[in-house]
Amino acid sequence: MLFNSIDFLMFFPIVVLLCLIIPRKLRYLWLLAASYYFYMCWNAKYAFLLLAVTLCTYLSGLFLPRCRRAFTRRLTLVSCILLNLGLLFYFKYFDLFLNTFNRIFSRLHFQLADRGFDIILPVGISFYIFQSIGYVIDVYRNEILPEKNPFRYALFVSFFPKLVAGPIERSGNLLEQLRELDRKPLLEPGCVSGGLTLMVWGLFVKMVIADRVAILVNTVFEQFYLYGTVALLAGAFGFALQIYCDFMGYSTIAAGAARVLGIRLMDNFDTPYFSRSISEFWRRWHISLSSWFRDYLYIPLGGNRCSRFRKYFNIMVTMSLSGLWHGADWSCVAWGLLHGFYQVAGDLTRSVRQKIYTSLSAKTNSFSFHLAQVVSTFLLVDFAWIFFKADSISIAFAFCKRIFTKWDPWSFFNGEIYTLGLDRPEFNILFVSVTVLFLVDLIRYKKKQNIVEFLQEQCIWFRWGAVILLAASILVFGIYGVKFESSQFIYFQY
Amino acid sequence: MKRKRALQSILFCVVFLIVINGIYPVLSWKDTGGDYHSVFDTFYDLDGDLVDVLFMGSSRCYCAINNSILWNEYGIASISLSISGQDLASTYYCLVEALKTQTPKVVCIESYGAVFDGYEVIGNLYRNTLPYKLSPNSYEAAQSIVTEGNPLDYWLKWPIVHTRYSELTRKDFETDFPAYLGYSADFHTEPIQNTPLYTGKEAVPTSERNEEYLRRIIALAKEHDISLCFFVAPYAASEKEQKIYNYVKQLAEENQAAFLNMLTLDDELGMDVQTDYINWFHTNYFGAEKISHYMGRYLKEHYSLPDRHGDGRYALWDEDAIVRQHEVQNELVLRKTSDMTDYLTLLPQLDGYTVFLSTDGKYISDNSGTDVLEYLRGLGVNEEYYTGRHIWIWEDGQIIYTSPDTDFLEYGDLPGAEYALISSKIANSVLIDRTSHRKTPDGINIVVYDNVLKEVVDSIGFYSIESYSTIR
Repeated sequence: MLFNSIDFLMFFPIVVLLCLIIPRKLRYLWLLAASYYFYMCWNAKYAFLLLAVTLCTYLSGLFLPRCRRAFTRRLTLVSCILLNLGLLFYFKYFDLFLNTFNRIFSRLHFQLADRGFDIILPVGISFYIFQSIGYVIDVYRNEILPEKNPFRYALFVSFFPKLVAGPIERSGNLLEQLRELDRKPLLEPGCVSGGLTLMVWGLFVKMVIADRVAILVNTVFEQFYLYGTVALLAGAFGFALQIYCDFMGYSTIAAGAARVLGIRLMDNFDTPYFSRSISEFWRRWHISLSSWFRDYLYIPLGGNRCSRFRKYFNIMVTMSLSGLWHGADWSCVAWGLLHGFYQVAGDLTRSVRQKIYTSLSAKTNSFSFHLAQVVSTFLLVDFAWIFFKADSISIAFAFCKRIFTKWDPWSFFNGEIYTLGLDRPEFNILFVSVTVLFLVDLIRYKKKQNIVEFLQEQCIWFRWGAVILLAASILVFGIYGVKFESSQFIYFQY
Repeated sequence: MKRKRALQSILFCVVFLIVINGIYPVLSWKDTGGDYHSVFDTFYDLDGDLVDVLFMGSSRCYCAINNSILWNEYGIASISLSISGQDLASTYYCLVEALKTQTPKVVCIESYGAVFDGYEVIGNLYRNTLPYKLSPNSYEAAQSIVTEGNPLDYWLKWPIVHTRYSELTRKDFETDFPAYLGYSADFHTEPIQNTPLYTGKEAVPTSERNEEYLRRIIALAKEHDISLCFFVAPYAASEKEQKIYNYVKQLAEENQAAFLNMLTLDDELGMDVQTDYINWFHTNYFGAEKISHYMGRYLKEHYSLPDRHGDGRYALWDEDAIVRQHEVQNELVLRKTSDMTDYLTLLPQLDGYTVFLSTDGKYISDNSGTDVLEYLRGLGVNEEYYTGRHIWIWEDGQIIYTSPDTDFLEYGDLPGAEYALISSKIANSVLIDRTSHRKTPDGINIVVYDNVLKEVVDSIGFYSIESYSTIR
């Protein structure tokens, strides 16, 4: 059940209305049932997997405080993590492992199996397994009390707004709110209007921008060998826009749906394309995952309080695993490594760059300097996205090679750009929508206000006008219905 | 505080619905039998209990039955809820929809729907599902008619029609369309090869689904005490199709419904395979004229139908007759006239038109022997003007504008369009909706705008250098 489907349009109001009717104390049980139904709409069988992960981490959480010996505690933690990662490996990475193994050993005429086991990737598995592991580590570190109520804990793992594409919630945030759910009045005015506004904004970003630019991106990436520099750059920049709007759109709808139900999910995006360095980008992009890797992997590995070499090692390990988390494909690992390399190179060249700036008397606090940093960071990020989007590393290299060798500036002027799946009116709609997105992000960047906070400060005519305009734009210009197949959210595959 | 919040929420929803309600008519599907011809729009605007005869069926029906002939000659108030590709299931749901507001005395169903099943053309599926208003009947129609894709999309319409944003034209934003009762006049002629008439009694059953809906139509008509008349408009039907019509005939007669097989009435109708068809299974304007006269006589003879002429509630039928008359005049008179003197003689007789005439370049021929000045004088052009380069406008045969001697720029409105007249030392130009209609640099240019159909219906130039030869 996609957020941008008629099914969800019926499902969500029913969930909210029944929440109003059901006694407060039973509300979490209703949300749990609704969450499992939501998940089972994709594949009913995999509800058992969700249940297994929930049971494993719930029991580990209960058992950990009772372990008196440090060894037993550690053994419990490691067993629980390995079991969960084992499930993740089996369902997500086994085929990759098998194919790689066979490719390496094929010269020795040795192979494990002819082909993969044709395992369907359970939707959202990486999200709920990471969230559950995070909970167990938090309990291990005594940062949170274990949840005794199995149903409440099950709701923490399966809460439907964030179940299939995050954010990867922290027990300190979500579990604490679920514990307070009995005592909170439902449908608080600010929560409902704010939540619905967030949902409308998320749907606008997903259906009007991401799904529209996806048409161009898919055209270019599927037949990259036919196109020159201009089209390939359009495809590459288009993908940066697509993946941001797709994932940010999902996270915003999730946050909105949760807020209507009285739950505040953590922010997952904070204007990442305004970042002035790659490390800043990772503090603003997919925040829940970045902070998860920071807290549960990078810092335990030693973080940056160690030798320079060890620090770079930690960065490369973290970023490559982050890449692997994003997809069971070596091109995703390459994408992660590229980001690791950017950070290492940035750190290594920092003093040199500072010297150059000083010798040139560069005004490092000026708008132009900041703009140059933002643009260069974006270009680096976008270059890496090519590896993320391409089907393989070799295709990514071929794509990049064509960008630099098939120079065709005339196609920018002769209308060829309008043959990439989006004609002139579609480009016009895209341009206006992206301008709106830019303004909303700019407000967030400058004023530290999200769209709801900004609108709440405005006059009623502007507030209503903006929301109605966004909703009408979704209905008219959104990519849905018969003519276009609604594309799934990109991050569902993780 | 809570009440204020609740009121605000309700008000917000109302405003939102008003906005959406304003957008929907723009995006809505406006085609049941050709671009921007939706008989459902006419139907939903009708007052209740006006229609005496309801025609239904596929495009063969709206090509064969000219409602304006039934009105002009027999005073029959009819409407054709016929839609391209309409199958019998769609006919049934259309009938249910029609009976919500109308109580026709006779329902005539063109029976081509009995020889095919379902929809191969997606456009026809849209035409048969999207014009409905939201109701349980339209929901059931979508569920029954749509076999591929999600019927809910077709019922809600938005998932389909919203994609029209990229194809919107000026007509989508207009609300004032010429009257349309379902008949689509087509003047194209293509000789066809008629198939042998099957005179045997053998009857081949129609599909189970078609029979089910035939029976449902019959039952519905009985329930509402409506006379049913199944008919087959002339075309080159195959033998198998004719046997299926025999089956429909049996079914009709078993249920006391009339069956009029026009395939057997070529002589009575006077159909001519050389002149009366658009293609092998659609009749053109000339064929429709013959069929409609026959149908009018048949209906008058067999059913008690009142003559509605003079009844103020039937103004729409009068408007429709004028529209159809304009279509005929434009196609068979105006566009068929090529000789300049004939054309100039015709112009003063045009009622309901705005005519733009411009003289340009060397517009007086030196060697043609045609006294163009005499004809212009005959049109009421002042002599002191017609030796210069000018533009004149006639409305309903009367001059309403003469351009000045100097360079000029004039612009104004027509019903459903705007015009601009531009004159410089180089040329004269008449622009209707920003499109220039200048055909010749030397001679006379004429643009005829139909104020009823709200479109340019002819644009012609007479080239003086070559003896006022015609350029269209």
